[in-house]
Amino acid sequence: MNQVLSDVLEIAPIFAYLYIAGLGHGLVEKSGILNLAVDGAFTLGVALAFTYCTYVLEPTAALALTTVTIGVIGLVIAFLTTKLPISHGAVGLSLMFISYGLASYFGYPAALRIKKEGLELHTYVTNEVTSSIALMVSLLLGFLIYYILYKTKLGASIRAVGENPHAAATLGADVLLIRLITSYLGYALIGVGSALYLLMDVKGWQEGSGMGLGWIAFAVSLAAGRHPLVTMFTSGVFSIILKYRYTLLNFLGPLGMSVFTLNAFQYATAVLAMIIFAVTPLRRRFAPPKSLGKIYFKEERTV
Amino acid sequence: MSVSLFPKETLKSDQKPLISVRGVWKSFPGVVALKNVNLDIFRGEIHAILGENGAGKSTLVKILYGVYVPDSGEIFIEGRKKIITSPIDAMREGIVLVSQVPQLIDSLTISENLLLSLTACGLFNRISSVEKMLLKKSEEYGIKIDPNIEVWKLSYTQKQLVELLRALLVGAKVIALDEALTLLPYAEKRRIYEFVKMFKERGGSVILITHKIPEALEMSDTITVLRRGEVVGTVKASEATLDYVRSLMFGEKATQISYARIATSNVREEVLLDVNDLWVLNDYGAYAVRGVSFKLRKGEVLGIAGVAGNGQLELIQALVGLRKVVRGRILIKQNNTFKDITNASAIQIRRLGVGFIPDEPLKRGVTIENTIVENIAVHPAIVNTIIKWSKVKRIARQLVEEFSIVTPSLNSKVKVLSGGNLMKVLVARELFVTRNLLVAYNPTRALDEVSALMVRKLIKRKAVEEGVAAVVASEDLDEILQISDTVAVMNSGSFVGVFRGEDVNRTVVEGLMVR
Amino acid sequence: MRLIVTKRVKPVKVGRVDILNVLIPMLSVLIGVLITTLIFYIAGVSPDIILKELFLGFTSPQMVRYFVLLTVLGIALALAFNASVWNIGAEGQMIWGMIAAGYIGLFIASTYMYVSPSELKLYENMSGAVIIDRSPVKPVVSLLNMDPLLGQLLMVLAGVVAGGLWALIPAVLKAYLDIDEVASTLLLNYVAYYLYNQVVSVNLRGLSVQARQFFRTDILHDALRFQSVPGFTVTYQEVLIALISFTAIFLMYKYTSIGLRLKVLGSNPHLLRAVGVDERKYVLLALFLSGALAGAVGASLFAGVTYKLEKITNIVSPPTMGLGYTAILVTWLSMLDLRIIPIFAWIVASLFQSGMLLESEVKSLGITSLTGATISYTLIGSILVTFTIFRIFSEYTIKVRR
Ligand SMILES: Nc1ncnc2c1ncn2[C@@H]1O[C@H](COP(=O)(O)OP(=O)(O)OP(=O)(O)O)[C@@H](O)[C@H]1O
Ligand SMILES: [Mg+2]
Repeated sequence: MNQVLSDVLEIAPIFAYLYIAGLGHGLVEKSGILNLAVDGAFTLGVALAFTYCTYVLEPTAALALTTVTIGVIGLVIAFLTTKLPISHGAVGLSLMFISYGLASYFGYPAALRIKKEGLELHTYVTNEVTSSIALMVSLLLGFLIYYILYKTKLGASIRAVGENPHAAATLGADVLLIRLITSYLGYALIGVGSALYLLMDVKGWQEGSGMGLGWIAFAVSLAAGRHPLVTMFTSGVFSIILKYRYTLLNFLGPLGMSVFTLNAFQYATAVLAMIIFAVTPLRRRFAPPKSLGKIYFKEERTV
Repeated sequence: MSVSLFPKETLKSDQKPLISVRGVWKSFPGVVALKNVNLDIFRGEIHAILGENGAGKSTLVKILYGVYVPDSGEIFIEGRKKIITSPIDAMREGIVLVSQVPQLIDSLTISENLLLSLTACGLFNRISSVEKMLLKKSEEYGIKIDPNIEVWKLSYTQKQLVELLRALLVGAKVIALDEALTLLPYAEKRRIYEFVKMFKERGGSVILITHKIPEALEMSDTITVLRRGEVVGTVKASEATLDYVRSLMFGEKATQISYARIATSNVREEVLLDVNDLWVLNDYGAYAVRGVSFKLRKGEVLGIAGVAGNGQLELIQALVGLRKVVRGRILIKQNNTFKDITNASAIQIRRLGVGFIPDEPLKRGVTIENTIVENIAVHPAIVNTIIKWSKVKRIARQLVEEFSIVTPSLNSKVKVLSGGNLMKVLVARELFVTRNLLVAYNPTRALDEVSALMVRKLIKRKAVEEGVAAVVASEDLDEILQISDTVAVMNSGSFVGVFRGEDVNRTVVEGLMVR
Repeated sequence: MRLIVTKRVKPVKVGRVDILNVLIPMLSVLIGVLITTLIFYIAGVSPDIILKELFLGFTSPQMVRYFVLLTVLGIALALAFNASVWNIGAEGQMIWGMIAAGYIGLFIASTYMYVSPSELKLYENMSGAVIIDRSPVKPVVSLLNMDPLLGQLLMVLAGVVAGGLWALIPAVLKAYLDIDEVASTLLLNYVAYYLYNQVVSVNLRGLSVQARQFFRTDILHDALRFQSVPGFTVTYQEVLIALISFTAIFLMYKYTSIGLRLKVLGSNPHLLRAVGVDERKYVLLALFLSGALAGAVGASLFAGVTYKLEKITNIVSPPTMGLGYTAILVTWLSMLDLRIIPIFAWIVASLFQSGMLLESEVKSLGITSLTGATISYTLIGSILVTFTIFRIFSEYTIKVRR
């Protein structure tokens, strides 16, 4: 029993950052915004958490600041894709590139400063207490998002706007406002995830830190059909793979698995999940929002 | 039935309009949809807006509802100038729009949908907290609806009822019905007109848009006619006649309109199409066509009448190879022998000289981002792998002349054409490729009377002059009666009655349709 | 105050040219450059250095290679984008092109073997033999199996097929299961990167000491490598690939019903179905052709630059150099117009080259806080976002209402 508990707490930090980022990503996409900036935002979040940490010397403050700042990316995306008839893919990719660039732009000077002044990075101590807190907080956030999405008017509006923004507007939803709120919340969560990755897992920064993990969060959420509670499960699976990949290979190695195929498998899982959701009755529950990534122009010809 | 939700004011004869529209202009690419439009809507009146296709009716009510923003012009509500840029603004002023296509979110429940309209309700309110209220209100209106059912499970009529319920719930002073009742079965349409009258009696106003002039004359108090974006007249319904309204709508073209049977007919002996015991599934895996058989002779027009959703669409799609035939056979005569085209691919069938006029022309008939020439070249029966553009251009020029299609040039994108001309491009192309058989589904849906008559005449001419056989399924019984040599009534997937065109009895057909 | 967006009623024309279609991309590049300059100015790099390197980028002979490759990739993506198939997976398709070309080049067109150190002399003068590794214990020799031109042709063909087949995966998913290709192509890039690592470090791993040590293949036989044009880094073969694909695709669009249907697929797939064309096959075709061209570029990367396949150690720098993403910029700026693609391929290639020049320049100045990635990512990102926003003005107008 104790063994299981300590195993769970071992993966808790990874689970926490993956799950929270995955929740955030899913939330953004539920409102119909194709979220291709997720990896950029995650990478930038890691660099920002690192930078904040270097300057404010206090992990919780760094976490809060990262959350607030990354949320702003969400506002930008929501505003551009909703107010203007503009390609979500292009907006997402360009913000991804800019975020990659800014990540190095902020991360490097901070890294230099640490080296020059011989500073110690004040991250969280990862022990059973902090891991349990991270676990509890992430689970609570999951239930909270679930509650908001499926039990409140905001949630109904988010889903409506993601399915059909024209009809939602006709019904009386303020598409822009809803998307701004959702996207800010979603990106703030991605910010929390990226900060936790730095503060509880890697605790150091080099160029490219966090790159690709945003896509893992993307995959985690996609594999769960963007459902906040199912994402809990996929995050669990993915965090086990991330944490125990070498242990796993002891079993899987003889079956022809290598660390490379295991990595490839993580991304392929998301594709497999999409296939499963498309061919089985799960379709209706886990199908992507109908207007995901569709350009929104209020005066569209609808005949 | 409770009346508490209707506006409190009773009908007053004050002359201050509830809504006045002043000098509104609105342009879209290639068309000025509204030109200096003025309109007054008074309390407690049903105000019909009539006009041919593309006259600007929908544009006008969408502007009132904040879907479109006018280029210039003003809107006054109860004498005060208002700027309405979103449906939220409009609902705040008591204006609600119900359109032909229900604007509901399929994956949400009824109460979730309605909740979006309740602006008084905060974003973090629980959905369940309002369910009871919705249930109570809907019962007050005698509308039996389970608020927890998802909208995609509803029938079309139920969806429109939810839309109306929504209007009442938000306390609408004006409900605009933009062809909202056109597609409803007769009995249900009547029932909803009762609601409308009741709403009016309590002081509510209704803007009614329809293509059926008699309906407008019967229901409304005032009629405003739009022509090419301009108001050409506002008349009291009690003082107007069918002919007068028509002449306002169509100008001198109005005299062409007629619903008389097109009598010219030239049915040959030779059988072209032999359909035997056809069974076809619908999208949900149920049999939509159940054992339909018929023989079609050259030069014959077979009209299939029926209420929408009785298998006509599936039958038509099976005929042109767009839907799988589960049982039965389709044979077509080619060089004096019958060729089996059951489950042949659409492209094989189209190569046999089969033309197809689909429903939803904008979706399935043309591609508006491409030019007229490209819209013609897209047909596999017109081009081979290597396109000879000179040949396609020649065909295009010929069709544009023959059908008097109004267009800036052959290389104009179809999106700059008006709705009627766009439809003509489609019909012209399909009639051009038709050498043996024409299959059409609702060929004139959403066309105004003049354009519709033109299309019908063209179909008939093709049959009479070139011996082409035609299968025309339509929900518009007038259309069926006007062009058919043979009338078949389709109900629940089978032909429940087949009549000769000249001695068909309208009431009998109607009876069979709703049996 | 409210922003009201409406459709532009008439295009803004000067003579017969829709002037905004020309102005907007140019302006975006300019603004993107300005934003980047500003960011670097704040970081302490003086604008004249940046502008100087930008200028050099536009004229550098190394740029020509990126120009040619980006032209092919730009066409590849335009093929898909014009059909409204959003292929973000050129990276993965290039990777498979590299692998396939590598397999052909290293195992079919040539043979690698250990020889005994004493035999080494024998091979030194043998025609068609190249000594890959002079290790005193186990030297490795590569022998040519076929005419080098045939070998090169086969490598490119293999790249074409492999890239096309890899692209067929998301194509089938989109056509038959309605699965969004943006997500699937993107995720498949990462699948490709890691499978590439698996393949090069296990299946295709070379014999030489370095190959054993660094998880890579052996190096390609000299005769099979593409020949560079004197004075440039670009090779004859790449130029040929670009010319052939440009002409072929241009003719296909202009004179064949296949091209027309691919275009119509982009504007109205339902119409294709209604006139009897199976639109799903065209989804497959669009992605196959797109992936095939990307695969050809992958083959060129192997046979023209790297000559070997080496494990990716950091996902930030795959052997494709991120060209698959950069090409999105090219195609997008060209507004999917084939004829304009070379122009923007040139501009983007120059900026790409400038980014690299800037990196070394900045390094030599001692401003170590800026890396090549920072520079090129910021540049690409800011141009793309400016363009994406400006682009709407060619079709829409924005009014302010109070
Ligand atoms: N969103 C839009 N974008 C571009 N053009 C439009 C748009 N909406 C309407 N139009 C054009 O404006 C004109 C008026 O259209 P509108 O829909 O108001 O006509 P209508 O009177 O409702 O016709 P119908 O009887 O066919 O419904 C038409 O030429 C139409 O093509
Ligand atoms: Mg209308």
